[in-house]
Amino acid sequence: MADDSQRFVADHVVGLPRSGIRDFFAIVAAMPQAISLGIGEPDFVTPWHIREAAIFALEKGKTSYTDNLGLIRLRREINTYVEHNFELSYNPDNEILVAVGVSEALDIALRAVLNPGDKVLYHEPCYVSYSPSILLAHAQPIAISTSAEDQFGINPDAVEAAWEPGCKVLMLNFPTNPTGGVTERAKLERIAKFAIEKDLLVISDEIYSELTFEGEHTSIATLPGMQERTIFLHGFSKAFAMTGFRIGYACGPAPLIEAMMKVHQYSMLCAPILSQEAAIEALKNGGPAVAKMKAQYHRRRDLIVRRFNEAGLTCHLPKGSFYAFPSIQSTGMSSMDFCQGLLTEQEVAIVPGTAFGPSGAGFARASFSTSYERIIEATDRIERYVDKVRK
Amino acid sequence: MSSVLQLLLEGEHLNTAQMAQVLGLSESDISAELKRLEGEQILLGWRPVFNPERAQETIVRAVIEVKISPERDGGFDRLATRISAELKRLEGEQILLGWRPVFNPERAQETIVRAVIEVKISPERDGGFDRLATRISRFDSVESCYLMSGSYDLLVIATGSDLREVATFVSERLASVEGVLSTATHFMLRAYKEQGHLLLSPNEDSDKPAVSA
Repeated sequence: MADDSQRFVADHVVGLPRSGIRDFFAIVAAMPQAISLGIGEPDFVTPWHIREAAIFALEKGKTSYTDNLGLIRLRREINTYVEHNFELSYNPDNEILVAVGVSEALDIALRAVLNPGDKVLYHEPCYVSYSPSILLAHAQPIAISTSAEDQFGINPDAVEAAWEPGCKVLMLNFPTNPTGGVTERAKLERIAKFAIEKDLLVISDEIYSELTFEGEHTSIATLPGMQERTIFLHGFSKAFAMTGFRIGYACGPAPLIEAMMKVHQYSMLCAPILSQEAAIEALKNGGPAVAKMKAQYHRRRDLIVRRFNEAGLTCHLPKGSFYAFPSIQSTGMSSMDFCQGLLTEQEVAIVPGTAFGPSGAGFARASFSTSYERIIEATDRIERYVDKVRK
Repeated sequence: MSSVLQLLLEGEHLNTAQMAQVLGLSESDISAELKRLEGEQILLGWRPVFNPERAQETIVRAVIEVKISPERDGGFDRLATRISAELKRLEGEQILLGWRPVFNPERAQETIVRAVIEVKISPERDGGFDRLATRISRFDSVESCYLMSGSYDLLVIATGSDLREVATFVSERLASVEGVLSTATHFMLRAYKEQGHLLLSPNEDSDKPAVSA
């Protein structure tokens, strides 16, 4: 077949970069012996009682569409959960939308609020989809760099410096994938004040919030004057180990949820009913399983960070998420060279920091969503590799 | 609860060196803590975990040998000392997969309630009781599940942090599964022997004189 169909692809899609993770993991896929610390999802299987709820729903013949916003029973449970864990309250009738994962929620939030040419502030290194999602909404991404000195929390001064006329949205993601960074309350308060002053809408992706190991997680939506200008995004993938169920939600002011619902109903219609049933079970009875997994992530984090520092790679303590983000600057190598060398010589896969934006240069992301045994073996190999490249 | 005990309760098979790495302690710290847990009858001992696909006569022999060895210094270390050649061979051939700690259920966790549940289920045309039994077995609350002869089909041992939790499991999860015909729940009141380990009170033998003829 003639390969000239490229001419049909939209200009703004042609310009989108491919995910750096994808290219790198094509190589890993061909190395079955390699230990991968590159996985961006829990190694745990969804707790059985949640899976069983989905099976039970299927047995009962629940195979239909649901309300565009999601099952009202689920939206009520979401409100109860959010009230209890985040001290936020939303009306289940018109302020909560159930989406196909936070990824969809983020996409429809951006598409619902952005006009072509609007500008969106986001912090970097960040999840690979942020900048592309903004571009797909025909808006202009403006990155705010975060640094190891700030433990990859966002610096309010940097937000103010990055702002320019035309900025409409500020996107936040704490704890952050890939750095595990969080931003303490005092700084969030300054950012909130600035958002009010500049009339910014905040879209806050808090998917890793349950996996906060140090201190209390604070949602920016709880700060004075913020709930009415914040779209709070959350989901089940990380804390409940439900990535494949593809289910998340957005909470926010009714007019914004209504606008998002329009985009959602014409593209997705509704989230799968079986996933919604599983999500209800997760919210009702998933607490103990989440606590158990969190305790294990916590120990793995302490182990991997200690081992990186012993191996000579300075690593800050990620306060949340299941990622460590060690600096590889002491080796004098670029992120990509380091990770490729590590993969070919020691068969350990970690992700070059640059996959998460230019400010990830000099770092690499290592997921500790794997067993103690594999973390020990992988970090032993990394230590051998670092010793060798330093000589 | 000590960090070593928490790690054991997680259920991953780690040797003392790996446990030391995970917790950032020395191996002797781990051994001392294991000794303390055994001394206080929180940790009762270790059970071998076999690959069921490869179970052979030799295994039975090895298990018996391990059981009669009066080991007191940590479950994993004995691999290096006693009958090590045979056990190492079994491990190497992936017949012996590891060691699982045996806990005193009344002391290892804060509060724990156990119940024996008699379950009647309807067999299916393909696979008999297997599919339903497996589905029931997967719940975290289910510690053991056996197919029985006699007046009921499955014997399920379930645990929870309190009575309500076990009761909720039975009424909302177990009894509602399609194919479960009835359940009868009996709560356990006290354990006297746990997987081969007698649970004696510490001073039971204290009447004996320290020196005697």
